[in-house]
Amino acid sequence: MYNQRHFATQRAFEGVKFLVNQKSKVVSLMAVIDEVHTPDAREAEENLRAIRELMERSTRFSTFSGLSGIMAGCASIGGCFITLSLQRMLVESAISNRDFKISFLLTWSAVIFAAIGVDYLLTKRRAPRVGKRILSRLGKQMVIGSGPGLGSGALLTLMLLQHNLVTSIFPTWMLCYGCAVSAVGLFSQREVLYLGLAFLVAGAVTLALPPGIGLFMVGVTFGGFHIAYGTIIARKDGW
Amino acid sequence: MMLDVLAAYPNAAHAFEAIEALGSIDDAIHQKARMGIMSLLLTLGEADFKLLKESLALSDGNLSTHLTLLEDRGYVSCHKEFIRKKPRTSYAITDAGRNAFLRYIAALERIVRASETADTVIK
Repeated sequence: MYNQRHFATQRAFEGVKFLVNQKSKVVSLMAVIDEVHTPDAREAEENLRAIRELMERSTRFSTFSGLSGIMAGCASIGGCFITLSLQRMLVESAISNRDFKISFLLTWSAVIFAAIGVDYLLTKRRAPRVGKRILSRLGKQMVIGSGPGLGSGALLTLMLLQHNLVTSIFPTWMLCYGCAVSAVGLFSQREVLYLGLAFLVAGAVTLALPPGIGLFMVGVTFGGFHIAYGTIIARKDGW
Repeated sequence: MMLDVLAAYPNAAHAFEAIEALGSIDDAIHQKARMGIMSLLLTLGEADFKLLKESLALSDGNLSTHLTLLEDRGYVSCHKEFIRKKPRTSYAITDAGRNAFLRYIAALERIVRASETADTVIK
């Protein structure tokens, strides 16, 4: 079969031979080509594919930094304390029910923004090492993977708040967040997957426990699990 | 004189491009294992010996040899440290290494493109 790519290489050599016969300075190039192993187009294509595959596979190793996990955990614990005082104020009738709900939403929105913000800044710090293309691909995967879980959690939170079922919000968060994190963990690191599963189990357990313990469990999971995860990852992969 | 060549041989331009691409293949990188090492280090920035070994499925000695070669060329830097009494050797890509690898990828792409151009010319 007539190999057209081989023909191209042949053309190249014919061109060189012609120039050599003209005693041009390309003579030295001929010597270089003889020494260096010359890949043909098929080999070049295969190499490029191998490189791309390897680079995409290795995004699995650079999802979250340990420090952002610890920061997220601290933010969550802060949110728990604020919620605790909000609850106390509500019981003592210092604030209205509506004020409580608004403050509650604001507090936890702030926690989420703080956690994401810190993670974004820390990721930017690692960006020159990891590469912008890889990070944006990671980001896309993370948004698509966690979208359903987080979206459901947000909707359920609003609905439960409206029906004054605040204590049911906490296990709901654990379950929805667990789904989101597990999804991200499926195509990135195994540790992220385990974190997600831990949230799911904790959520199921919290559903079985008396409602009063809900906020404490939020501290344990969103606070403790994140800090533990962050410490493990930081120890393993570096800060 | 070059212009005469280009006039007489219309495909000489492609020939020159192909020659240029062929000449610039870095033989330090153009090898299966070393290509893999450079790809990983470009993506991760740095990696320890264990990670490289697991990802590329190379033996200790084989991986060591290739890493030493890349180190001698200045493409990779080695950093030995102790983490809680356990030794950890990590390798990072240098700026020279990054540039060399990107040039290598560009050369590969040029070879593919040059042959594709030749295909269309022949057709």
